[in-house]
Amino acid sequence: MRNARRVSPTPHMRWIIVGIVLFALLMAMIVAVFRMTYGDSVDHPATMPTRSPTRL
Amino acid sequence: MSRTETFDALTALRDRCCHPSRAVAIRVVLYAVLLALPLAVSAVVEPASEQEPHTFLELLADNFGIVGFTIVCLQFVIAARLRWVEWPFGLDMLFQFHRAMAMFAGVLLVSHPLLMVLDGETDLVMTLEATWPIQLGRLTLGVLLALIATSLFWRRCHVNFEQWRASHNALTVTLLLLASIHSLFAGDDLKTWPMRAMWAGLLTMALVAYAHHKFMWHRRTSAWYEVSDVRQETHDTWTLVLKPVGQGAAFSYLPGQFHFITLYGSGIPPEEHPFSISSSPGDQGVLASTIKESGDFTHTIKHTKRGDRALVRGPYGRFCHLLAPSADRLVFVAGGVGITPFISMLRYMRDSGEWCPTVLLYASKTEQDILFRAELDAIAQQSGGQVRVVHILSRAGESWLGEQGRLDDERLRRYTSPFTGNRFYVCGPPPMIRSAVALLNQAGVDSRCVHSELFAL
Repeated sequence: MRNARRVSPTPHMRWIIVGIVLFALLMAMIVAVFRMTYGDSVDHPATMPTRSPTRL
Repeated sequence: MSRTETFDALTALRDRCCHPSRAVAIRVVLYAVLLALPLAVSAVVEPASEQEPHTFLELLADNFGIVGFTIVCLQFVIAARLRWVEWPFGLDMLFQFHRAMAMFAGVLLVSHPLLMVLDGETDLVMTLEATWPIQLGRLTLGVLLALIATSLFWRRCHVNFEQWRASHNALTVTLLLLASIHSLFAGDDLKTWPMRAMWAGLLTMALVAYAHHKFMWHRRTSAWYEVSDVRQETHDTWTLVLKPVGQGAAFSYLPGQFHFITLYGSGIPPEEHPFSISSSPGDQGVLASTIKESGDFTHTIKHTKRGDRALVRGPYGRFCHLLAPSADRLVFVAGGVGITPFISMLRYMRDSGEWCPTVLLYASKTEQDILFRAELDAIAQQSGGQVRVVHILSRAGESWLGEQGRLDDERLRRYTSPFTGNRFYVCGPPPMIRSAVALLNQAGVDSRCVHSELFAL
């Protein structure tokens, strides 16, 4: 029988979704902490000379 | 193309599709990298604040906006039905992912201004006056809420699918453009060229994917066909037989897959809809779909005439016994017109001679609603006892001697126990699929051995 072969099961989409969501939240928090810790003390050359002073 | 060549093409297609784990891992990792890349770039190149230090909430709000925007851009790629993206998952699975990520992006983008308000920027909600980028941000938020509301409630508002899809496309593209402009001019997040290049790249990727899906018919996934036959199967179900226009060959597909058809004929709206392929891959140069009158569009199927043109896109899906690990026995659970992928698989077994021990539990309302009854009986006979067909009628007449009622635990055990070594495939109306899958779970069947294809947007 030609189709009697071992192949991989269907991917479990639920776990992929949970993994991606947790990864994205974790990355957002890690980068926030990183920028809070290091960003304000670095005078980076890529910074452009003008930027809006406040959001509003 | 001879029948041997057809089966060789099918074998090649199956071999390409039957090892998805590595392909899944590559695509998931690639998605995660694309999601994290703008954040990583912002961490490296974001300017230092000279006016005041950033707070955690403010930075988290920024990051939620960045991730939300990135997901919105990636949604265009997910929804473009690109073969490279689709095949390891199946399109129905991919659309589940698309829906889940849309909800996640919605939560992130709504949280973006809320976190700023929590951080003390109460002017965002306390006053209507603001700079134009902020006003644009408010407009973007309104579009986002409209998008979420229409996606969640369009069925309850008696809007048909085509109207919803048109509004969904318009709102999504509008959201993308408004969010791009807002993020470019509000705040100081996109003042560096690496971040601007990143934004331009994401925006270009989204728009190219959208244009590819909408305006460029890919030669490998879509082709023009014409209707060569329209057969009435039951009082409300019809089979359309399609053959390629000109000298072209019908595309290779696996039994149980589906395709999208747009019909161009008198009295038929030119709308694109997914239908299972009911023909066997061994059928020379033709495709067939069996369609039940169950909605606005499908009620017009009977008006289709020979010679009508059809644009066919496909094949899609992984609902095929050839793609799963080998099993001692296949159990097909079909409800109503959900028999279509199974008739394709059974026809394939008959045409190729590759019989598998199979039990088909086929639930219909009445005897008149049973599709392909004579052919199913003939296949069972030709299989030499390998295929068994069990009809279950929910509204049986007095003359019916077979099973009556619904598929329940007792019937499931009677026809398919022992469950070890079985591989279950379920297709039918969504409530039937849910109850059958729940029944199998309660019976202790390993969920990895249960396959169902729920195609509802």
